[in-house]
Amino acid sequence: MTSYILKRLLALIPILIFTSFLVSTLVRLTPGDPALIMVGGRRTSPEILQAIRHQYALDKSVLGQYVFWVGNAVRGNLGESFRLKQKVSSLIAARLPITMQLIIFSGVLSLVIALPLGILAAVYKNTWVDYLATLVSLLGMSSPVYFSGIVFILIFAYTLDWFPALGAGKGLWDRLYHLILPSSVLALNMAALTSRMTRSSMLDVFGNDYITVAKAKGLAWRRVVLRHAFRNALIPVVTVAALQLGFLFVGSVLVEFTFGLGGLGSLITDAIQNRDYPVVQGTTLFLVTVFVLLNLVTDLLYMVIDPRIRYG
Amino acid sequence: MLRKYLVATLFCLTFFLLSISLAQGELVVGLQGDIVAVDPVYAYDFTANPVVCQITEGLLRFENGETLAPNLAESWENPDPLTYIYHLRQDVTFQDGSPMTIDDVIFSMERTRNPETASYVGWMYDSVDTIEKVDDWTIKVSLKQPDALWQYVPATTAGHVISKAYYEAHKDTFGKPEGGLLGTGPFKFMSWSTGSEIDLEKYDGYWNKANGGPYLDKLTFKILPEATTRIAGLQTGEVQALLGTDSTPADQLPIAMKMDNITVDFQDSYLTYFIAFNTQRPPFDNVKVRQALNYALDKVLLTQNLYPVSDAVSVAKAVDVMPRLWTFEKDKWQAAYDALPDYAFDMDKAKQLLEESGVADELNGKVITTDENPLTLGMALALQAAAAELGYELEINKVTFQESISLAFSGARDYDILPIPWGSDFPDPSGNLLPVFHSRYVGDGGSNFGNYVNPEVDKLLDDANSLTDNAERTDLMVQAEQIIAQDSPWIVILHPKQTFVLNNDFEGYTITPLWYWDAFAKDIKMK
Amino acid sequence: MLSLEKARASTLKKPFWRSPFFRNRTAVLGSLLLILLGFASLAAPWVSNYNPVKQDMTSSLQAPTKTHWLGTDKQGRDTWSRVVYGSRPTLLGALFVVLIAYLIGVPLGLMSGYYGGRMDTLIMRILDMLLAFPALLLAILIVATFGRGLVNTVIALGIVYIPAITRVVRSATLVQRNLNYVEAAKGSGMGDARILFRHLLPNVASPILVQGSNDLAYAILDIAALSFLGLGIQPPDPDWGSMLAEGRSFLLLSPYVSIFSGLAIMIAVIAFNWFSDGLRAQLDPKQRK
Repeated sequence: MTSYILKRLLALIPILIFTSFLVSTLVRLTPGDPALIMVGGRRTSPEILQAIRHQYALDKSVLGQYVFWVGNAVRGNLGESFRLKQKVSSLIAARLPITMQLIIFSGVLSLVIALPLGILAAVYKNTWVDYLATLVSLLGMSSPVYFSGIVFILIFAYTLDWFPALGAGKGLWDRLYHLILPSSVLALNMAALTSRMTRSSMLDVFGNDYITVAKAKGLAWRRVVLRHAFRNALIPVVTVAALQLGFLFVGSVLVEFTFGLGGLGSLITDAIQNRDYPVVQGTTLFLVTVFVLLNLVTDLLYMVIDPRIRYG
Repeated sequence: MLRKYLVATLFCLTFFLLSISLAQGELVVGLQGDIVAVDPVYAYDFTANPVVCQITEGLLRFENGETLAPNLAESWENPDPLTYIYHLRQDVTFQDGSPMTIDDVIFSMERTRNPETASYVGWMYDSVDTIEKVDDWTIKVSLKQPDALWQYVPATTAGHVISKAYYEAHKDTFGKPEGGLLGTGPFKFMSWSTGSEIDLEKYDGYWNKANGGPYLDKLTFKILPEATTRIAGLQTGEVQALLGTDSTPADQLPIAMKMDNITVDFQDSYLTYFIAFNTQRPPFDNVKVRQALNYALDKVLLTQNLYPVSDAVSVAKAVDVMPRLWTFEKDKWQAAYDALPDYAFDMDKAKQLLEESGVADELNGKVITTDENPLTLGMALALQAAAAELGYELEINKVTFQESISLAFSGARDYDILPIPWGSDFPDPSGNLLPVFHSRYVGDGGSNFGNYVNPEVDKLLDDANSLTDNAERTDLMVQAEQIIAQDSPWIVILHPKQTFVLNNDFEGYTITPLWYWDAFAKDIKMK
Repeated sequence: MLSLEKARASTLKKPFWRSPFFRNRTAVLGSLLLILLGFASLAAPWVSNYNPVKQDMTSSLQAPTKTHWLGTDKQGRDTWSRVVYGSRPTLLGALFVVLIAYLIGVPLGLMSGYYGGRMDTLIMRILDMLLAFPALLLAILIVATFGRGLVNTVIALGIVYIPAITRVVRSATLVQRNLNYVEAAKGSGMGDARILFRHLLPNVASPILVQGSNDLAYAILDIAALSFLGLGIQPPDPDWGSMLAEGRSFLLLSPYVSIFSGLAIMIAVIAFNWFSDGLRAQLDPKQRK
């Protein structure tokens, strides 16, 4: 077990080298001069542009810039944003909480929506309950978050005035209140896959002998469903839910934009748009690490849920 | 079980609803993007400026976006074309209570001017030779050559004063969220959560309280890149003010104007939306081709389409010096304006000109635009349709806003046709002529979008800029204007008005063409 | 457990309309919708009643009328015609995304599962690196680098879709590789390439088809998302994502462009999902118990 974890952690190193090199090259091949973008589309002089390029090592070659960046990154210095003129590490630290809260809140919400839907659909297979549950989850999945976000704002904030339209709020309760709309948008989008997965793995389990036995023994149906079937159906659901975290992140990029939440997602997209190389590199490095660790945690979770699974 | 959840949820909801009332005397302003820094040397756009200009102030200020007025300098004089003398006020304090001295002023100006600072407004000091201390309260600025535009610089962020002591104590974090900014303005910097909001608070020791505010206890800027969200926020009261044309897009104006809790005010601007041809690239180096396309585009219809609210826009004529910018010699400008061609929509004339051009069968090209600005995209689409009427296919190349900026200000001038806005930063017609039509500004960082090179125009504009007599300057600029109009390096489309959207609970500011140099929040108060 | 070959043999005996696929109402409805979409997109010039890029600024932002069935957009272009023509880049794009991903991913998965060992480790590690990125962000970065436009968007998404199908094919191959017929083929001295593509591929076809029809639904959403972000098709040509983006400024004034392009996306995605469910019911023996 420990050696397995160690092995996986070691595999992180080549992944980080590869991805950081890929990102650093891609972003520099992108058309657009960061120095010109930095001055924000206003008049300047060639001398000032030269000074900016020198200040940010933009006068070095692409490889030279990468080596320069790696040299600093290894020492824990992710560099300074071209545009926001702040340390990349402090930018990530400042933006991370809101994105994490958004993802966790929507993850929980999506489970709250998806699990009952999936169980109901499985229990009442091929009845109108099943069809309705499927339709609801499909509608959620097929409406793109960047669009349903705006629609939600217009319905629930603009017209009905039930929820705030924008911003993240201050303090715990206000924050949760502000996150309800954006999280619902994400959760509805995510719930589709999880509920369908729950349904099909519940149906798989229903076909098994021990459920028949349990039923024959006269156990209450509700208990059979929740105790026996659901627990065994959980593994594929966990797989999907973990995969969903990745989706959730991408979804949160788009939702943050719509709701004016200054999270990690808006930091990265802004940085790509503004050719803010250090921020693009630093944040992807951070994200890739998080993703790989998340995958590892998911794999370990399987082991906890199903002791039959072992990794070498 | 389920019931318990429901009760808990309802309880939380009620609690939330109670907790969201705003603080008294707080104004929330919506911004369309994050700011680059809280530092006047980097304040040169429509998001950083409205924040920074409440915290720091210039030696002078613009009155109504038109005339210069005293501010941190109580008076100034211009004894000869090369010398400007500024007399500082002696009762000004920074927001930490320390007095403003001449050292702070000179330090701030030199910092902006120093190429190593890489200030976005550093170019404004191009013709400055020396900045000297005459006595404890008097500064002398000497120019290398006469420059009619220098007089306005102290009223911009290039003339803003920061505390030298504060800067030196916070060198590494100055202008960033941790270090912030210390100035003499009506509001002091409190916090900046990047990507979400910036908080300012009233400075009670403000030197100019006798003439009005600050009245607001708190001033909050919320960063909201999605336009629909900003508009929805106006309705819910979460956003109480939007400033400028970028903040309230033309397409959203009809919705904003229907809301009964806000007032929308329009004022003439110095801004122009136009389509620039790359006049050095065939076939657009041919004046008849440019004129043909100018006639082929129905600019009146296009303007109506782009601006569903007609109060928010004025129609343009051949050149971008609009009536509002005639800050002197109005009659001369009016006469010249009347004589300009208006390129009114005329398909027959367009076809005839194209035939005369002799390159009719070579007409093709790429229009670069960004879809982040519906105005430039709409202009590109309209030009494409107009060219199709002439029998030619123009391609549209959609890029990000940042790429379009990079193309527009790069010396490579790697585009055929570029729809883009421009507006003078000073209340002087020269600001809409010199930077956009002088061949000096074709290069890197320059704003000559038409890649327009005409020695005659260069000379007229140079001469106009080295004089101080406005009547003589006008004569020269008017001549340049006529030549440019004939040459048609641009198709001039429209002049958007500056928009100010304010919640009806507040009053006290009228937007100006140069609002982004104003301490606009100073006189705003609750009704 | 039934082997896949036997499962298919047993379904073939029944008439096709009694197969699980056709007994599944939603699968049939999904297929019908897909046929309809395919027809509309092929017959766009005949189905539409206006030139989709023809502007008419005098009839800007109209509600649905007798002449403009779904109304008009800001430039006065006919929304119905734009939705119909917009199906072409969206659907064809999605098809090519899946095609690109599968042309690369399926052979990789086969080789990885069949050879195992070093080859497997190498392929999986490289794919792990691709998987380590949030998918849409990688696509955004690729498109930003190599330029906007439909072709680049499709290629970028194609690359992003590779790891998922590779994993599916690999695990299906792992099951097959130890079955008798593979051993027999090896024993008779058959070349690896022939075993892989003649024998293994047909036997892992079911999961590929199921995953493929499902990926098509996601590809439509992702193309629309990139197009919404302005990275996809270039104006004035329509596609559903860019129409959705253009329409969002007018949601309170004239929501028709957004509503109808959004509906088109929804219908296509739901249709592919239903179709994919039916296919799964047909091909996956486990679900037919």
